[in-house]
Amino acid sequence: MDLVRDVLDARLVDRRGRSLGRVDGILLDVRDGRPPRFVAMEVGLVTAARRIHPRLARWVRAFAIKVLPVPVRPTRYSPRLCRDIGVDVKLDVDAQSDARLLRLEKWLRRHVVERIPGAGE
Amino acid sequence: MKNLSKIGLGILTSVGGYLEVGSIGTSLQAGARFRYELLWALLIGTVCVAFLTEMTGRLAAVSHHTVVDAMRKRFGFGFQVWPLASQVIVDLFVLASEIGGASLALELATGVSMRVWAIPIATAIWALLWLGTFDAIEHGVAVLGLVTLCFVVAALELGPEWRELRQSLVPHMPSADAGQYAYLAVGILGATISPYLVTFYSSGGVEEKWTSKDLMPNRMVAAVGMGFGSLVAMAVIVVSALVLAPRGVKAETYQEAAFILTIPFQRWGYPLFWVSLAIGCIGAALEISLDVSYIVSQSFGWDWGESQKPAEEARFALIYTLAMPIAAIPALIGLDPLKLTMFSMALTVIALPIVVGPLIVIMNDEQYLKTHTNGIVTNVAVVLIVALAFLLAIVAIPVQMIGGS
Repeated sequence: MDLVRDVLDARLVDRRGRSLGRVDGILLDVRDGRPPRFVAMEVGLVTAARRIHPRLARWVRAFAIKVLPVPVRPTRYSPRLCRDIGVDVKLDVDAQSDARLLRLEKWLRRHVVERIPGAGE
Repeated sequence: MKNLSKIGLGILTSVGGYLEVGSIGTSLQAGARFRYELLWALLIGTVCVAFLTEMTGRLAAVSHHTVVDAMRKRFGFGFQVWPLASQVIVDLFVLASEIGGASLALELATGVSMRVWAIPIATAIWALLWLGTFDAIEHGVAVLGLVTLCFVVAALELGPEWRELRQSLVPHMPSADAGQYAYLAVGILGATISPYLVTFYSSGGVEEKWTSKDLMPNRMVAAVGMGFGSLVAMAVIVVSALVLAPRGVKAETYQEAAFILTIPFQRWGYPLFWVSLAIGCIGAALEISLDVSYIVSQSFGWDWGESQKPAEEARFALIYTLAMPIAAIPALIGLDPLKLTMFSMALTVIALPIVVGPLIVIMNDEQYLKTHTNGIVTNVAVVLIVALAFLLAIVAIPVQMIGGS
């Protein structure tokens, strides 16, 4: 497996096929005299912005803290959760029942979208 | 049999949905100022867009992923942020032009200023997206869009000079005013090879759950549907050449051109014009609003799809909800929709290479396309299209400055 080719920027999907975001960053543990260890896949707007420019990441972070109703820290997924790596990376998690996942999506659904008539559910 | 009905529906959708504010605006001006002379630009644009839709439809059918999906994965976020940003900006401008066009159509119908119609139109488009499903929107609007075939009937009724028309299908230099000729040629190509079609078409394929069995219908619809669709835009050029040009009308505004169908259809001509304009613009506005949501959601890996209820994809639904008031502003302040359209077409052309360029790599990626990667013909076509896109992007601004005034 090539982390940059196969994992970075791939879409993450949960057990039910629900999208969890894209792999915006890869966390490695760099160790003296030993190969680096793959620690986590990171999903978050600030992580993605850092890839363009660190200053952009700072702006996005400051803006997100002011505007967003949920904590701005990125979500990290351990490689142990991987069930399959193909065009998408399939993870052994359930976004619906896990309160730590898709926080912004769930907040917007509950506080904005569901208050507008015709939104369903 | 099932394939036949799919092909029929697809062709109908392409024909009914072909005309929108960009193609109406550029075709009216091209016909009024240069008679048939710019038909070749429409022909080249149509061949390009037929290849592009075939390719992006094939990607969706084989991989169940979209162009944006593949672009982010293969080129990374550092690259993808540029096509994303440029396409969101272009989409918003074109959406604003469509809302302006539809508002102006209602002004022509009622005599009440277009500024009054901007918010009702934007709200109606939003409500259709919020409550409707992809199939209902796509096919419903296309059936209504068949009213635009009145331009084809008008062209035949007026009896064009077929020999001159045939000669105009070959690229050639203009008889006069090269600056404006180039400006309109770029505008027509921008309206025809629209980047939003590239991303929208593959998203539509995934929405409609195409599989490898849909490859043949996809190919037929891309070739025949786009071909017949372009006939409608060609008919606008022809009618404009036969009605507006002899009367010295330059079609600088839609109001100036609104009588265009009254010559062949008398009292039905005026309502047919504003109905065609309104339906064409509303249909395209629905697609472009969806496209903004598609590209943002797919870039960040959110759940997306017009077939789901908004509550199931809150972020997807909120993106088009946010886009609508922004795009309604130009019509609300009374900005001339035809001028905005022509400006948007220049922007479209500038964004084109960065959106279609990556297709050279994506359409040859076996992880996505398995055994259905591009062959020699499609690879040559995509390279030529990308080269044309770069050329257009380079000349767009100088041409706008010389010919746009």
